[in-house]
Amino acid sequence: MNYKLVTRKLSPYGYIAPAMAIFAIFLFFPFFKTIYLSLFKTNKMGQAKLFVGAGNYSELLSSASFFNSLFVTVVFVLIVVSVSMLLGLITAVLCNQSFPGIRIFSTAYALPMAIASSSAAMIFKIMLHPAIGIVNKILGLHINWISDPRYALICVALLTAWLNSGINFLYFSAGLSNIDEVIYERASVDGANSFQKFFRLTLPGLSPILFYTLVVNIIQAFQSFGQVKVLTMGGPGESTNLIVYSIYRDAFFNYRFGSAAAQSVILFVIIMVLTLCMFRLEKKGVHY
Amino acid sequence: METVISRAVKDISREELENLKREALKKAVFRRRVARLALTGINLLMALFLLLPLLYAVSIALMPSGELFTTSMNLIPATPTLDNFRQAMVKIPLTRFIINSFLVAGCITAGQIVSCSLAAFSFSFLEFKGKNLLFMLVMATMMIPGEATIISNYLTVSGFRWLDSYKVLIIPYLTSAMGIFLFRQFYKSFPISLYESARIDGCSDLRFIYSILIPLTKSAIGAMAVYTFINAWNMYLWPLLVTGSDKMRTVQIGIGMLDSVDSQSISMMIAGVVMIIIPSISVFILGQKQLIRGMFSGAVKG
Amino acid sequence: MASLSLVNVCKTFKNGQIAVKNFNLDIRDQEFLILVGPSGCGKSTTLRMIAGLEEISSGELWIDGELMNLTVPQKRDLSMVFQSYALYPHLTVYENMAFSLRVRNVVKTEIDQRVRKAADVLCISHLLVRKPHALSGGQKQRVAIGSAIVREPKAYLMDEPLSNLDAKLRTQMRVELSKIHKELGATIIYVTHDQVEAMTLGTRIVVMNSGVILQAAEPKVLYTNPINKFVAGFIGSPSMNFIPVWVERREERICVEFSKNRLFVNEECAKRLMDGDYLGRRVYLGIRPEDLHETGSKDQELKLNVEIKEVLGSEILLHGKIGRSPVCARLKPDFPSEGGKEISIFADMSRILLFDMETEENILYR
Repeated sequence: MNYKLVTRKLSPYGYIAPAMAIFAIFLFFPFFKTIYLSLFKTNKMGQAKLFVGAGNYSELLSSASFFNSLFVTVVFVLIVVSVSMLLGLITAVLCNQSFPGIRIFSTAYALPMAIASSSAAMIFKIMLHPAIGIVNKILGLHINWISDPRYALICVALLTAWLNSGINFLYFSAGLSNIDEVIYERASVDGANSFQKFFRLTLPGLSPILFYTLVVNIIQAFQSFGQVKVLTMGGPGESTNLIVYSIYRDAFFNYRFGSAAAQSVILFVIIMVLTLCMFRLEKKGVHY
Repeated sequence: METVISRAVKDISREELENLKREALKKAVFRRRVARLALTGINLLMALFLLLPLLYAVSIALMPSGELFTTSMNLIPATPTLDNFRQAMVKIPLTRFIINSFLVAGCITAGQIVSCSLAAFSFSFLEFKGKNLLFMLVMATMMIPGEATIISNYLTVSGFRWLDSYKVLIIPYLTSAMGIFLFRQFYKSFPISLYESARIDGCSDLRFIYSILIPLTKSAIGAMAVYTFINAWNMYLWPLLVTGSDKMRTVQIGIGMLDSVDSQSISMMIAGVVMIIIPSISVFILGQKQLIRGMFSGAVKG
Repeated sequence: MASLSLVNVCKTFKNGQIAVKNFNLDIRDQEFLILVGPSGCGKSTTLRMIAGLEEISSGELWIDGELMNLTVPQKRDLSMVFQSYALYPHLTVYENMAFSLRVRNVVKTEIDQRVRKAADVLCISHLLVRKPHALSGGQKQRVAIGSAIVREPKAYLMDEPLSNLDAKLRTQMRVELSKIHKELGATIIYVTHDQVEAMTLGTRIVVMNSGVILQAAEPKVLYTNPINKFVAGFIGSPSMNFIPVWVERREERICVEFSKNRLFVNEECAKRLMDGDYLGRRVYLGIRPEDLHETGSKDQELKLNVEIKEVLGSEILLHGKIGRSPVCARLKPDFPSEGGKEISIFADMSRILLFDMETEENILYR
C-alpha cells in the first residue's frame, strides 16, 4: 500500500524526467556554463583558467570586428525577415482562392522549409558562379556575387529568405483560413473593392499571426549559420561574418572560448530583449 | 462589371434585350475565365521562381560536366546522364552518410515523440508539486537559442568522451520544448474526466497513453514526426563540431567533402546535394497534410 | 429606396442541384417583404442572388429599372445584415458601422454624424468604442443592423438576423425592426424560417418551398386564404389541424364525415365541392386550433379524445385525437377538461378549409 502511494506520488516526475534530464544537461547547464566561461580566459581545451570578470565583454565592445559582426547580422536579419515574410505573404494570398492545381502550388510554396541550409548554399554557390552560374546568365551580368563584399551579404540573406519563406507560407495560409469568409461577403455588399478588402480586412485579420511569424523569423534569422559556412566563410573580408559564425570561428579556430562564450551571451540577451519587447508591443497594439 | 443595360432598355423589344443579355453574359464569362487564367499564370510564375534553385540543381545533376561549362544558356541538359550520381557515390561514402542520417534523424524523431508525449501527459493530466514552475521552465528553454549554448555543449560532450559517436548526435536532441507544448495543447482539448474514467476502469498511466492518447493525437504525432525528422536531417552546426570521421558523418557534413569548384566536381557535388535533398523533401511532401493539420489546429494562434 | 423585380430567376448549383426555380416577384418601394420557408427552400439563395453574392443562373434581376444580373455586389448599392452578423472582428463598433461609408470615401464629419445617429436609434451609443468580441449577441445584432442603416441604400437585405437571439430579445428586436422600417421608409427584404417573425414584420410574405414560390400575399390573406395545404400548415402556431374526411350528401345537405363525426358545410363550400366533383371522395379538412370552440350547434360538433392539456395562462391548448387524427384546440382557460376524457368541441364552419387529397390545393381558394 505504502509502496503504491509512493509510486503514485512520484510517477508524475517520472514522466517528465527524461525531458527534464535532457534540458538540464544540454540546455540549462551549458547555458549557465556559457555565462561562467564568458568571465574567464580559457586554454585550448576550453577549460577556464584566468578569471577576467567583464574582461571578455569589454574586449568585445571595443573591437571593431565584433561591432561589424553585429552590424552585419542586423542588416542580414532585416533583409531576411522582410523578404521571407513578403514571399510568404504573397504566396499565401496567391494560394488563398481555389483554382485548378492549388495543392501542387501550395506544396511548391512550402517546399523550401524542407531544405537544409547547407544543401541550399551549395546550390546557390553554383547559381551565383561568376562564369557558369544561371543568375549571371539570366540577368546578363558578370558579377562575382560571392567574392564581392557589396553583394555577398545580400546573397546569403536572399538565400536564407528563400529557405524561410516556406514556413511563412504555412503560417500565413493558416492565418488566412482563420479569417471568416462571410466578412468578405459583407464587405462586397458594403461596397469595398479588392484593394480595400485586402488592406482593411486581410492584413488586419492576419495581424496576430503576422506578429507571431515576425518573432519566429527574427529569432531564426539571428541563428543562421550553415549558409554562411558553406557559401562565404564569413568573407569576403568580414562582410558576412554573422554572429553565430563569429562565435564558431572564435571558439573552434582561434580557441578563444571565453570570448566566444561572451558573444553567445550577448546573442542570447539580444534575442531575449527583442522577444520581450515585441510581446510587450503586441499587448498594446495588434491583437483583437 | 458595370451595369450593361440601363433604364432606357426597358423600351426596346424582348429580342433585343435577350441579345444584349447574352452578350453581356458572354463578356462576364470571358472576364472570369481570364481572371482565373491570370491567377493560375501568376501562381505558375511564382512557383517556378521559388523552385528555380531546385529545378536548376536537378538539371545540373543530370548534366555531363562538359555541358556545364559554357557561357550560353544551359537550363536543360542536352544529353541527360546519371553518371554524376554514380561518381558522387564512389568519391565519398555517401551511402554510409545517408544511413547515418536516417539513423540519427529516426532516433531523434522517435525519442522526441516519446519524451515529449510523456512529459505533456504529466503536465496536462497529473497533479504534482511544482508543476507550473517546471512547465514555465520548459517554456523558458524556447527562449535560449541553441547556438548560444553550443560551445559549452561541445565542451561537455568532449568531457564525456562522446565525440564522434551516434549518441552525441542523438542524445542532446531527444526532447524539445516545442514538442511538449504542441502535445500539451492537444491534450488540453480532452476533458480530464477522460483520464479519470480510464483510471477507474483500472487503466494504468502508460496504458492510457498507449491506447487512448496516442490514437487520439495521431495528427499531432504526425506533424511532430515530419517537422522533427526534417530538422534533424538538416542539422548542420552540431554534427560539424562533434563528428570527425567518415563513419559518423551525417549527410549535410559529408556532402561538404564534394564541395569544390572545378568543373568535374560541380555536377557531381550537385548530384550529391540532390540525393540528400530527396529524403527530406519526400518526407515533407508525404507528411505535409499531417504537418499542417497538426501544427495549425489551434496550436498557433497569435 | 427602390423597387426590385425578379423575372424567371433560376439558380442551379455547380453540382446540378436546383436551388431556385422560376422565381417571379415584384418588390415595391418601401415594402417589408418576407421570404419564408423551411430550411433549404432557396430563400437565402434568392437573397444572396439579389445581393450579388451568388450568380443568377438564368432570369433577370431589375433594381430601379436597371438590369443587375452581372453587376458586382459593390455597385448594387444594397446593404445586408447576415445571420452570423459578419462584424469585422478587428474594428470597433464605430469603425464597423463607418466601414461602408469609409470605403465610399464619404467625408469624415458626415460619417461621424450618420454613425452617431444610427447608434442613437439602436441605443448602442455607449458601445461605439468596443470591439465585437466584447459584445453580447443582442448587441452584435444591433451593430449589424446599425452598419446597414448608416447608409441609405436602395434596399436592405436581411438574412435571418434574429435567429441567433434568445426568445425575449427576438421579440424586442422584432418591434424595433418594425419601427426602423417605418422611420426609414425603407425597402426591406427579409429572410426567415420563423413564421411568427414573418407574420409580425412583413407587409407582404412570400412562402417558398423546394425553390419555388407557393404564395405571395399579405399576412392576413396568407392566414385566411392559403393556396395549399403546405402554406396553411406553415403559417400559424400551433399549426392547422388536418383531418382526412369523406365528402357526403346527408339530409339533402353536403357534409364531411369521419369516424362517427359529421360536419355540415356552408353553402359556398358545398358549391365548391360539387363544382369540383368531390362528392364521395376523400379530402383534407383543415381547421385552425383557434377556430374550435366550446359551444355551438349539433351541425358543428366534434368528439375530441383529450390526451394532454397545456395551460398557457390566457388560454389552454388541448391536444388529442378525433378518430385517428391528432387535433389541437385553443380554448378559454376556464374550460373544464382533463386528459383521458372525451369532450365535445364545435368547429367554426365559416373558417374551415378543404384541400384536395392529391394536389393538396385549397378547394376553397379565392
